Amino acid sequence: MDLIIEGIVKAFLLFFSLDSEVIGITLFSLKVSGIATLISLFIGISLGTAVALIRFPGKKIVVSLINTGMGLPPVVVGLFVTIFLWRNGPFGFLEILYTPSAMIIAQAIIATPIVMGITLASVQQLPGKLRLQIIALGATRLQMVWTLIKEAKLPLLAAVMAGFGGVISEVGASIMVGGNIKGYTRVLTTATVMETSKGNFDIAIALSIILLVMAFLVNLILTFVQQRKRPS
Amino acid sequence: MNNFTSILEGRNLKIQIGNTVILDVPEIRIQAGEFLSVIGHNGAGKTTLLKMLCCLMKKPKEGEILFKDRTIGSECSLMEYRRKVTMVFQEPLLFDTTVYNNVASGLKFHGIEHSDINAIVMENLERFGISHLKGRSAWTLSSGEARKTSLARALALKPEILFLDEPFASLDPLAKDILYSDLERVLPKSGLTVVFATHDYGDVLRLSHRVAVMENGKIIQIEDPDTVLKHPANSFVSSFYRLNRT
Amino acid sequence: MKRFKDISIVLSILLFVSCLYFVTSVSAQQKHIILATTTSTQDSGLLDVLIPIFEKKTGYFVKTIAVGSGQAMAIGQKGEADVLLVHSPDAEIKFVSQGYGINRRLIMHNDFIIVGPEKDPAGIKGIKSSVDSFKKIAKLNSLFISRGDNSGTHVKENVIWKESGIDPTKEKWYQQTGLGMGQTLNIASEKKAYTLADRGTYLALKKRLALGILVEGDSILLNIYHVIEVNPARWTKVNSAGGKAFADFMVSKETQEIIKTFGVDKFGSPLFFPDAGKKVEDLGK
Repeated sequence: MDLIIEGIVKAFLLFFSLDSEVIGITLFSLKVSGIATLISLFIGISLGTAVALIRFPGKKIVVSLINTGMGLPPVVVGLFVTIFLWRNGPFGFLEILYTPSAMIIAQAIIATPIVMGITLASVQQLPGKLRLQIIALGATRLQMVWTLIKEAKLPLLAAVMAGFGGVISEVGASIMVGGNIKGYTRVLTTATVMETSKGNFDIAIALSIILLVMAFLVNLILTFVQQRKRPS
Repeated sequence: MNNFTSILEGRNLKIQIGNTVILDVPEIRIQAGEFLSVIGHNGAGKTTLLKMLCCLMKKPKEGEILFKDRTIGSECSLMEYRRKVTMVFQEPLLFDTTVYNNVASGLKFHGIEHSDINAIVMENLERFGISHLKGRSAWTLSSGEARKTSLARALALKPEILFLDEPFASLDPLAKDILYSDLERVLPKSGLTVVFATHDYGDVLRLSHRVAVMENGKIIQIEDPDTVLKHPANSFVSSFYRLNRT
Repeated sequence: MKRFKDISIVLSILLFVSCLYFVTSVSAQQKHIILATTTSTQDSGLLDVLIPIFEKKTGYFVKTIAVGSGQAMAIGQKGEADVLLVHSPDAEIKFVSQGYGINRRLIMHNDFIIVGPEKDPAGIKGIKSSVDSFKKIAKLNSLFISRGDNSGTHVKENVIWKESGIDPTKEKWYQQTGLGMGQTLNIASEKKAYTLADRGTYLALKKRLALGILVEGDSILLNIYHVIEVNPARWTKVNSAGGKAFADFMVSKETQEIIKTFGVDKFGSPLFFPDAGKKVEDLGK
């Protein structure tokens, strides 16, 4: 119990003394997970909407695959991304293993099925006739898809939250493809693992608390946006 | 009515799922400027016919639809046709935004100049007496207000043909009456062609030029309201008529 | 036309993503080396001191991948690292003889210690021979925590078990963590168990552990670190110049001086003993 209090105190000290390494790690975590989430939104929303709207054989299988993908274990993603990015692997020419790019790719792969699954569900939940109504108002297919996405914006915010929350708290893939390199690919979760194994539990707890507070703040902001837009 | 020219013509419209005939209309001609009511029980094929004529469904393999004597899909592009007609459904299906933006949405789809949209939206809001609601979120409207918004959204597009699929179903009689009066007031001025599906024969009578009676996917009678009233094609039409009168 | 628009959306997304790849891979083009090493060098904090000096001096950017010695060599064997800093001599010799590595050079040593709960249920405290103490632990079925990760420490532990003629792997009192040294020490401490640890990590973590040093000083317990450059003849993509630069840096006089004093201020004694230029046979004498 003393340890936890010590950790909380340490968290405040580290953060408010603007410990450059901790601030750096925190901002870096935000950056990596933020970009990864953005990419996953791009891909997840477009593909999720497409799967929701287009009828094709084997759709049920694809939907089940996406839903399975929502629980994709980060370490599995980490392993495969590592293998693909090895110097002598298929994408070795990119030379991005153990770089932030590799972490962004891995995290985007983790977040994309989450965003896709929630998009799929939220677009499918829209009244079926809404699509016909939009077409009947003279929309092109692009306008129709965009309007549907806008109509599903509230559940889509949940997709943003779930995606970001999933990747910022993820450790397995980040440590495998990023390597936890000091000042380069070290994020809050990998630093926490390392400090724990070093026995610096107070710092580990401090990092965890920063992680928790950050996840909370992001969700708080998103929730505010959501509340503001929800018709009363 | 025979001197009307045909604005829309459907030929060989047939949809069959397994052995069930959903729609079987060898020929239907809609005259320019007429108000055609399509009546029948739920499941008679009214909505399917309207969706088919509005080209919101896959075209049947053999049949074709002609808009002003031009075949849609070849001589007249689908997009061109869809921007000359519109449809209002049973549910208002408003977008999650303000009343104003809802009415403006179709205009934006059509690519109308931003500067022109405001005047058109305001004109149509006034037509239905809902100008005061323009800033309200569409999700907070009463069902009557929502349907007015939905109609204003459709009419703002100045369609040549307006398809109405039971737009007043599940409204209380008073609200329904107000909407009919609104329609009555608005329609003759615009001179547009209306195809109105309903299972509520009595109310629509006063607006209709012709009535098409549907049963099991087929049009079993299509004539002016008086003739349908006096000389029902079969017992079904008369029973349907009586049922709705009592 | 509609198809075209759909395709153009997909293309623009791909473009966006590939731009990102490009931008980020440009930054990765700067000369970097991948150092695969054991957790003990990172967890003890030694690399945090040495690497910034090396980077400043040479301009290389070092990507340190801290894993067990076994995994470090597996990475090197695939050409996915440029230089290794490891402590598993037998495996290292095999690694080099198979042509995966070149220029294996002695860097430093410290020693392994057998640690356990202060109460010492197996009564091994003071025993000189680590083989005898392992035998006693086995005889009394005292809980023993193993790294179980093919690391240098794990390999050393296996050697001792082999010498004592015991195969503990199927025993209930023998548990494998598959984790790094720090984590394994934490677990041993929590479970009041014995484990084999390198002195450096143990000293670094000592303040949090309820474990004492029970057996030390046996010659078999010597923990020797070598640096090995990955053979560029085998893998063309290996940054051999960078790997060599790092290896040279490790044996340089300046670095050896730092190793000599590292940890003295914090733990009262050094964590590693610099050995560059010496012979393995002379260590610990």
